Amino acid sequence: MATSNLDFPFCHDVGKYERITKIGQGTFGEVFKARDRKTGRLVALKKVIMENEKEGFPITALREIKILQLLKHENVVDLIEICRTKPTQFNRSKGSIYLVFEFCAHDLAGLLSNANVKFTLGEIKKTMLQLLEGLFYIHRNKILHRDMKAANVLITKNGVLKLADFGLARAFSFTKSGQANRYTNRVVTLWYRPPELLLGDRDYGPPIDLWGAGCIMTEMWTRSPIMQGHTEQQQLTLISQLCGSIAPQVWPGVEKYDLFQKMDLPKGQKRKVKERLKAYVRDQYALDLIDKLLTLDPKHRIDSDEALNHDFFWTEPLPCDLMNMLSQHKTSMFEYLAPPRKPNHAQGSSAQAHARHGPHGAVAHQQQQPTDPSYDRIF
Amino acid sequence: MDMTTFVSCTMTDEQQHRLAVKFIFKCCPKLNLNDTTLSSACVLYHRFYNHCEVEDYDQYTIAATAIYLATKVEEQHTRLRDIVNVCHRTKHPSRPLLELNLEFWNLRDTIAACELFMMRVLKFEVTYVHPHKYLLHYLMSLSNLFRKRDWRHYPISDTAWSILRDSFLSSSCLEHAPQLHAIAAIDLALQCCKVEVPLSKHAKFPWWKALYDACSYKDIVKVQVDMVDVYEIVSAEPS
Repeated sequence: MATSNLDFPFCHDVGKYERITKIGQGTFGEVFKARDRKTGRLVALKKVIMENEKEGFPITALREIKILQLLKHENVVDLIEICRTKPTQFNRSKGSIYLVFEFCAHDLAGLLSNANVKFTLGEIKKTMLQLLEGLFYIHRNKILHRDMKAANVLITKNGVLKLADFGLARAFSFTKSGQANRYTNRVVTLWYRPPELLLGDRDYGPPIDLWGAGCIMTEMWTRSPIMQGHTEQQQLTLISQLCGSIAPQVWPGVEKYDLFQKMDLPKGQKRKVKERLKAYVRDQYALDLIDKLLTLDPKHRIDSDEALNHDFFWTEPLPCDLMNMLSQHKTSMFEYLAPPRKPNHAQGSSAQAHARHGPHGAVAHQQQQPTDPSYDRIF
Repeated sequence: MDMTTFVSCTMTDEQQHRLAVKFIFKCCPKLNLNDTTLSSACVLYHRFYNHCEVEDYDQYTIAATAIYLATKVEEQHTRLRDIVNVCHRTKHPSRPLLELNLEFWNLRDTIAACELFMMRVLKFEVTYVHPHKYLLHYLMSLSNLFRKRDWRHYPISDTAWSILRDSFLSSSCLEHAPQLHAIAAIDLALQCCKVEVPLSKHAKFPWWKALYDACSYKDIVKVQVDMVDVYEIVSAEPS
């Protein structure tokens, strides 16, 4: 029987899309820009890597599919369909699976790394408003993103923001009396990882994504990640230097984490979030919101609902559509495609190496060091 | 021709599926899987054969695959090794245990490949909204209407849970809304225990209408007919 001629009605062949270019490296595979041969619609194809799986279809990919089927929101990336390739001798007779997404022209890290892209205060407000609305929606549906970073925030050419890459996401439940959750704490790219995860928390919740939102919000002004640690230890030191010492006075119960004793936590550090960032962020309301997002104690960190009610979004200049600003830029901007900036010092490459080969599988690609010489002094 | 093939030749498709789903019912407790994972496995099995013919795919392979996929969908992670061993032992109780030989690895690879095939057939739509959580909430609400002593005396919760569990033997479980599914199980349990919900005569609506507005008693009876059918076929089949 000539199996190659069999028609499989349940799942389309990825050949219906014409590949254009590689645009990124997701948590569990490569991402390509492609075009539907029939309709001309642009899509992003994300390959599910299965070659090394001993336990069948990867659970992370299954979670991503389940979660994306559940989430339908303007600010969450839309899964169009799932395609397959035919098994050939080149893939050891195992076909691969592709997730097909709507195509977004840019990612936030790509936009921020391009000095020609300038955001007004109103445009920054619109970006953060959409990001927080996306987070509010996913959290209300009991999903944690667990990999918030600028490269996972996509923006369409019409200025609509989409949260993407749910490769590390999972469902969560609020803990019932006495029964703690035991999720893995090896999630979130190091530079965006909140202090509770760095201290080994396994019973975390939505606040972990809001810490990332705070890092991303600051990046809207600084244009590069604000705390670029090379190790978990260094990341905790950087956090302490910005947000003050991690201590039971500001974070009741923090002493209960095993790692609280084991890690070297700087003592006597004052909280300097507003003070250090005011050189970049002139707006008082913005500074106040960043301060509340970068709260050490997850129980006191602002949630997405409160953040959306913050004065930042309700004072002049009001949030302003990104479409006009983006219409000046004809080419797609992705972090993956951005030309690497000159590293300031040798540590840049080790930071990349760590983020890429970190134990959590969250991939940080081509993070740039800032060219601003004052950067080292401030952070 | 040995006895088993002879029997399966004379069985209807429905009887063959019933045996395979009963096989799922036997394997899941051995694997320490809870009842929601069990019902997900049954739903995946029934959904698969909505698209495929039983002559084309071995129903026990599909049943084992459905269990494996259900453990992933319900986040009750189980090693593929354990699934292979338990399913093999349950299917062939008189044969020697599997060794780490070619047969074991072949069975393992078959289920891994079949898992992907099943997902493709189901268009990757593998989630299922369980009636179980509705059942628990409804029982909590109902228990407030009973005197504590009565509620403890009649095994309403246990009976309802068992009826719900057994209803997954039949593919008709795919057709019911989860709320209706739960209400039908509770009502049947009340009838089995010969209990009426207190104050029913004075209530504006029947209790089920208050819990789930979008149903009629006709709908409930329809689901219950399917539920009772399960037991008739079970007792009629060759032992």
